[in-house]
Amino acid sequence: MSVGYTSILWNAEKKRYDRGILIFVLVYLVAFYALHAILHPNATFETLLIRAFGILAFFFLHVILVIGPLTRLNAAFLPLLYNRRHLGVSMFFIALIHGAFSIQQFHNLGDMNPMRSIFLSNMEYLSLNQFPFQTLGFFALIILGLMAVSSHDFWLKNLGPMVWKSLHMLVYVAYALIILHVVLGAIQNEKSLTFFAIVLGGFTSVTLLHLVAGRMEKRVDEEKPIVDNGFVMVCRPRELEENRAKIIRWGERIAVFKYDGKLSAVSNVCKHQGGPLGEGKIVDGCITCPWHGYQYLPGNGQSPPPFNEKVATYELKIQDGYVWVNPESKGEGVEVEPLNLKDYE
Amino acid sequence: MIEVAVDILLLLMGTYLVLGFLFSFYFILKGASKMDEDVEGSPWHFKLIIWPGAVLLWVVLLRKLIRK
Ligand code: HEM
Ligand code: FES
Repeated sequence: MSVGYTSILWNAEKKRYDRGILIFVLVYLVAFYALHAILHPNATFETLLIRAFGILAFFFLHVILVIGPLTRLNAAFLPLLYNRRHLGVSMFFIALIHGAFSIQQFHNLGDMNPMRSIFLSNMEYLSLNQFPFQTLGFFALIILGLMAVSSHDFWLKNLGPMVWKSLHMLVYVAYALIILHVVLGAIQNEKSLTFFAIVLGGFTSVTLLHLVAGRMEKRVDEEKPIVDNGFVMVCRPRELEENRAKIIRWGERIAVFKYDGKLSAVSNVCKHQGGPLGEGKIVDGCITCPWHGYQYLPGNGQSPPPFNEKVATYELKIQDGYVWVNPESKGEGVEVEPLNLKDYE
Repeated sequence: MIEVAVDILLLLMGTYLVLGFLFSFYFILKGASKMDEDVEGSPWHFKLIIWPGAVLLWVVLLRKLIRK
């Protein structure tokens, strides 16, 4: 949140996440090396390094791409989303090691400039099974680099949400390039069928999960809420879980939270990157965004001092045993008396 | 034909990076705080972490600074 910047925003949970990434990488590298020492004892260390880091980056990219849809389908995956940004930056560095060692290994030997060599050492641009697949990896790496350097909150704020979002949507272009890079490369290296099957499996999972999550979103959007006298029906109070919310769609999405026997409604859209506040929890009395942990007080939609983000608040009422929300917002950061459930028992 | 295209591409990318590198010094020392007052008083490691972005995204940043 604003009030000065720092380089990397860490808290206990983010540190645990990053430690998890590091341990995974170390265990993976040891296992990869051990396995290859048995299966391919003749492979050089450089070759193993190139393969190990290429496959690791490829795997992390898949994780990053499925986290979004998975959390939509099941909240149990939310912890993975929490620090996806650090996973993305780690993935870039891992891919960079793979790319740099490949260039060193394959293009830094003759007297041709290594950059030119990526594009010109193999000129079969019209062939499918001899295509210079490394060029595709090169362009993908540029995209991943642009995303990594612009991942700090400073860039989100100062590039503006439109530029930032377009830049980060390029991840799908990078993904397509990398799939081609890997498949065309594997054809040339005469990889086993298992290798192709795994790549196909990964690609299918990413595609299917996006389709399913997209369809689910659409169904929620199409549900027609009941409206009476300008108020939209939410549900019965006991259907709400403590410290959790129900999301209502009426023009804007509204999140109705229950906590300490009270109800409050705020906009569902986080001021940071538009994360779904209603999928988050109330932690220490604050609505906490599931994406990166921005916090808002339920009673007035304001971030607790010293922060100054504000989301819109909404008026609630109870009528005929149901909770209703007025979809006309009271404005951003405007105090709205929480609905006290004890008054209605 | 392909060779010429590749040389032009590499020349353009190289020029872009050199210009970005030059711009980044101005941006880190002055431009960033002009663009966003929260940068004032932020530690050196924050500046270090936005530095690669200044090199690569200089075209967008320059346009925003000029408009301001
Ligand atoms: C400058 C950029 C890149 C270059 C020069 C490059 C080069 C190569 C080369 C030479 C191979 C064949 C290695 C071998 O089997 O001996 C390869 C395979 C591979 N690359 Fe890249 N690559 C680049 C970028 C990327 C990126 C960005 C990713 C993914 C995030 C990636 C993922 C892979 C994977 C998964 C393989 C298959 C590994 C295997 O053969 O077991 N590469 N790349
Ligand atoms: S904290 Fe980043 S979107 Fe809410």
